[in-house]
Amino acid sequence: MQILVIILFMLLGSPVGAAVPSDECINCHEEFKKRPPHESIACTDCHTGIKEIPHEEKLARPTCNACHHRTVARFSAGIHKSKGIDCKQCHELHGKNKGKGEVCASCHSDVTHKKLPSREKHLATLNSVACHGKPDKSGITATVTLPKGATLDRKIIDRDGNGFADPAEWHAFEALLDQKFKGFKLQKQYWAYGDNHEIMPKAADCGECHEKRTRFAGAEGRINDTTGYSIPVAPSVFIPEFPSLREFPRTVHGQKGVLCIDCHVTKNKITDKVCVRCHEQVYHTYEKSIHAKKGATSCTDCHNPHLIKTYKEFNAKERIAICSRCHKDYISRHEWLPNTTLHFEYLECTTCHSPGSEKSMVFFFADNKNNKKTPVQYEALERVFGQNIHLKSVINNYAENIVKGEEVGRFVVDLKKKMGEGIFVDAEIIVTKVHHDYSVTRLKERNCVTCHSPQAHFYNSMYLLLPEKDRHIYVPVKGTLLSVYPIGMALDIYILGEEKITKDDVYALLGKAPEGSPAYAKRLGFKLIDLVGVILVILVILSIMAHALLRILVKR
Amino acid sequence: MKKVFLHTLTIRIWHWINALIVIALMITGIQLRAPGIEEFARSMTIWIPEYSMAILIHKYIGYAMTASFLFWLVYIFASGSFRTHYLPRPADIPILGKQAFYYLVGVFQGGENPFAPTEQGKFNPLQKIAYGSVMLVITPLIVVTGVLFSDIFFFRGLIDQMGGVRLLDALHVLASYLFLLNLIVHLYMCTMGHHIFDHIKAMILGFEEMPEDSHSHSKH
Repeated sequence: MQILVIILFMLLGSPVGAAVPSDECINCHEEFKKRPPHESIACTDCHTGIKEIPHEEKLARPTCNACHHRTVARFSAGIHKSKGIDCKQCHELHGKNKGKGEVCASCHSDVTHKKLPSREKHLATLNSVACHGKPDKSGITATVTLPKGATLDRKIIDRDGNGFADPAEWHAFEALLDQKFKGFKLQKQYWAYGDNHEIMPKAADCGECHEKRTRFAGAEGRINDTTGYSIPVAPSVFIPEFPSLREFPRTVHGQKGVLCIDCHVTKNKITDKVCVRCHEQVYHTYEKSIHAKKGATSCTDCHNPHLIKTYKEFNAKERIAICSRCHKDYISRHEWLPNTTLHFEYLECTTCHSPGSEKSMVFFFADNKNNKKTPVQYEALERVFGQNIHLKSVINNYAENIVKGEEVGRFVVDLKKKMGEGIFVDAEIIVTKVHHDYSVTRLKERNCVTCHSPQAHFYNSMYLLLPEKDRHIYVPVKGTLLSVYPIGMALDIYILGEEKITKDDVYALLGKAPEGSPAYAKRLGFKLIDLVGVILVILVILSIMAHALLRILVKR
Repeated sequence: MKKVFLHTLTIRIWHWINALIVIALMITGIQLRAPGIEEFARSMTIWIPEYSMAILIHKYIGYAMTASFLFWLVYIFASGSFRTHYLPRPADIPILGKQAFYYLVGVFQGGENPFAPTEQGKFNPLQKIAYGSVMLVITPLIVVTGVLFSDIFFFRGLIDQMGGVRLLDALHVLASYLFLLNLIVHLYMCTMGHHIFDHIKAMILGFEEMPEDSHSHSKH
């Protein structure tokens, strides 16, 4: 097409046919004598205002758009136009320079692609359009040149005969090449055609090639044997697919705008130096801990930066799974803990082993089906309450960011009706604010009452974990969920320490309770066992002592 | 004086092993229920196991208690001891009041114990009630709830049917208070023989020395 236009111009706009011959112009404007880019057209083709010589003093500015309208349109869509750059800044219209690489360098002298992972590989195989432009066409061609006289049957590549080489087929083929056709040549070409004028504000991200395949969507194997033929190949053979890229935008890092290249500076494994750039404080806490010195030394030993969930969204089991990759013997080491496996249903390792962390009792809705507890997922709730439901506003009619125990109670009763009798409120005692010092290995205080008492620290920090679309939210809970009816019946967690009598209970019983002692006693429930029991023991001992004393006195 | 054979060798061995088990469970049980006691014991320089150790002791000695109880249960039924010594009889009813009167008043007035143990029946009606309730009601309750507690995860279905862990906890604690009360009385009453150590000796040697005719015998 472009060639046609040029031919058309050559025919229409030849110097001979011009109103004022260009030679006459050059008589005065000698400096424009040599004008290679435009030597085939007449001066007046651009400087259209000139009808005769001498021409007017003030002339209209020539517009490139008149001929190069497609190029100008593409240029206008790119970043350079918006930065106020015009054609002249790159192109010497009357001179030799057509606008090549060196012109780019006049502004972009410091392009090092320092952050590009596998820099050499990318720079050696790709042109600028491939990443910075909008390719009209792109693809991969793998040319296999076999030794002279060799023939390779199509079926050797395309084993299943579907006319397409999938990754397994192509890899098997490459292995075979090595074995059977010594001296073969395999050349890979990553080609992208487009207009260099349309430069995008940001280079294509890794995902465009390595995941979504909006670029280099197709690949072709070209076999140069005695016959010569082509076969389509799965592009993932030549551009590896990064599975995490699909999920990455949903991860915490992805949502906060972290790009692949922010971390993957080289193709080497990520080191802590990369993490510390953002997570400085956490890193310095961790660095000093015994855990860092003796055990897991790098952040990625425990953390997978490509995971969708935030730490807070992990349940106890998922958190334990991280620690137990190394601490495989965690069950046998906690044998002293009664009901070890039961405890690990509700706790995670750092609930105890990170004293600096903030622990909370986190409640969530779960479904008990065939004795298997599963947290209620957002999709299931959407089916019941309609699309884009915000559970918080269903539970709490007011706009406050808190739910009350009674509200949750009412909601569970309602939810049971809607979703079945298996619905209940489950709870876990987990870390909600992480402190990265895990130096505490053997707790001195292996004491049930640390948790099994009404004074346990996590009662001051209780949350309801609610599933939302693509995430979970923590809503603070006001009041206790454990003793609120009907929650008590729906809740599958028991903190036995709550059933122990305390000093405060005794004082309250002795007359300080505002509602009166009998009412208070009634409220104590099972706690009365301790009170009555201790009183009886004391009474029995006293009576025995009296009995013994009398026996001694009467010498019997 | 005549020797009255009261306790078989099996029962004597069982008794003392069971006694050790009960002591271990009582101490650790109290410690588990009231952890503050640990600090108190330390300040009095009394040895008391570490909390985590107490938990383990309570668990495993608890299993021993289960085995011990099952052994006793099988033994007293198989040996016919239950029929002979434990089963309440109509003849017991009239003695009930006399026995209580003796313990509360008679003993101080130099009265005679209305009941003398024999090989045909070693327990007076009050003892039948006390030992019967301890061994056939309280101990089974404490053992069953204890076993359920040992693995809540495993027994969850059963526990939930029963009414949940809270009730289980309440029953276990309630039974242990009743057991403790009985134990205190038991420890005191074992001094109520003719001589202060007579009953203890009997539990070691198997027999108790009795006057030829206990009813004509007066106090020492």
